[in-house]
Amino acid sequence: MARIRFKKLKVNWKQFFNYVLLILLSSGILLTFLIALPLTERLSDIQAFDLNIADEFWSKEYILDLKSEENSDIRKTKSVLFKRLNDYGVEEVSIYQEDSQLRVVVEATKPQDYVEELIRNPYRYSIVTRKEEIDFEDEENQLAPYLEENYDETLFDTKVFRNIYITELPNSSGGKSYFGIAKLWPGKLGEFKSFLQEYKEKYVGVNIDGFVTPVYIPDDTIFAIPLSDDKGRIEIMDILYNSGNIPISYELKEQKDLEVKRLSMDYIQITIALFVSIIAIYLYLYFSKTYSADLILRSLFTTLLSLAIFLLVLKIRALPIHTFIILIDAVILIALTNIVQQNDESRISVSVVALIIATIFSILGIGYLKILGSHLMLLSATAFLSVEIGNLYIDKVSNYLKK
Amino acid sequence: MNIFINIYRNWTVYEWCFLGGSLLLIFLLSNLGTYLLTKDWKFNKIVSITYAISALIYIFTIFVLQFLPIPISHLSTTPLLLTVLIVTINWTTFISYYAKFKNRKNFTITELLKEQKRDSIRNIVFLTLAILSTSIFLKGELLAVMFVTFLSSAISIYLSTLLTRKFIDD
Repeated sequence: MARIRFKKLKVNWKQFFNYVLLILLSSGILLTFLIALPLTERLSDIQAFDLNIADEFWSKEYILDLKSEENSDIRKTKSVLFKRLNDYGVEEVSIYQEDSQLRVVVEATKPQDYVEELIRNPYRYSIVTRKEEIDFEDEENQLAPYLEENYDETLFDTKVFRNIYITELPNSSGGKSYFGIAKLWPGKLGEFKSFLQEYKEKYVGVNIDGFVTPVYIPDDTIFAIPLSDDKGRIEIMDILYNSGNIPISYELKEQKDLEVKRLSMDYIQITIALFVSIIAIYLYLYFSKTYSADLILRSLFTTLLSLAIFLLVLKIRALPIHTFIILIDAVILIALTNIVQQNDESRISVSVVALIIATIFSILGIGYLKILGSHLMLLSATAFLSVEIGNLYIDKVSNYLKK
Repeated sequence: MNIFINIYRNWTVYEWCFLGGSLLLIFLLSNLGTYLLTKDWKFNKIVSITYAISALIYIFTIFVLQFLPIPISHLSTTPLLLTVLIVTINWTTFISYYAKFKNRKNFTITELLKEQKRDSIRNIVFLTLAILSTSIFLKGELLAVMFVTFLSSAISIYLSTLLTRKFIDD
């Protein structure tokens, strides 16, 4: 029986992988544009690709009555209050001193309950011990464990704690709960250890603005304050414990709602308008002959791609964003992508410099500068990536078409 | 002057330290980067004066804005980041070009100045178009933010090319 012989196939693997890469890139880019465009989430039920627009601003004024007229204390109180609200990401905070009162004006999209929690109480805390003469098990006085007057003060207050480290730990019922682990400055470590040894397997308390939370000390190596199970509240407690100490006590005297005067925009219109604007810019550049046709094509493609990647990341990660910030981000992204594209010799240095500026503002920025700083980190990476991917794609497509 | 008096009276130490600190840090890092890449203090003079000019233009435009019927809030601090970013990136392209080509055989200062001017004008044109096209959808304080950003960054970038011509030519 004659054997069938197949002709040996010669496969050009380099070309084959180039085709595969081109197909993958094409489908990836197409998908990116599809997801980035508004309303394309309606094409599929598998995943919602809506932008997480955070445009529901509310504004309120709080009057705080301070228990001290010392100027340095008032200044410090103002600073700590501002830091707390800024750390939480509140967009606009203004604090005015009026004699022995502080007027705090807030404009935010963050949950009002949490923002108010940051303002209402100074959150001055200290460790207290139970008075021996008080019966904490008395069923007729069930509030006894929570009242400040039933406890003795100790040396351990906000001044001796370096920070309260918040972490999840196993609780007595077998589940997991959040606890605040007290970290002390080195000078007081010895005294605190002796304190823990003395009160091992006993109850002490953490006095926060006059309300005491009982804390059981199971062993003498750790002091863990039981906290809430609600993740949103944990962020607030972290800020309250670790954003500096307010030196004076105060109380909320008055609060009133204020009118919000923010420009509201429709993000669908904005997205379409941005794409149209970019095309208009490049058409102008083409007809004015500012750049070569090849550079304009590359720059246009990479700019559209960078905008699409930016919107894709926002949609997939459901990052909350204000519509007017999208416009500012878009201007930065358009300019940045254009500069990165056209300056081959400084592509990496420009991206790195943008990233450094972004990091500085996202750490040290206040209000909108902090928000823009964190966006700029994403923008600089997006601009660099889109230029690299865009150029690679255009080169591959033009090579393919030349064949 | 009202707005500046209000800022002086009501800003917290935290705001002063963090905003001042971030701007100072960028200023120092830009100068450090410039010196490390060029080993010539003349370039540091140019970048420092450029930052000073952009700060002055920013302050002047905010001063003018208070006489217009536009509310000024914390949003008006955003041109600080935008201007610093645009000016620093424009400067980075110039310094990177210099660092890359300074040791080339036929490299001349005239070529460097031409390259900087061309890049700067391109960036200004592009920035103008980008800000103009998006400003159509804006009004009030946000439009003012874009306007302030455009003025402070475009003028500073252009003046930096003149400063380079003056300092480097000499």
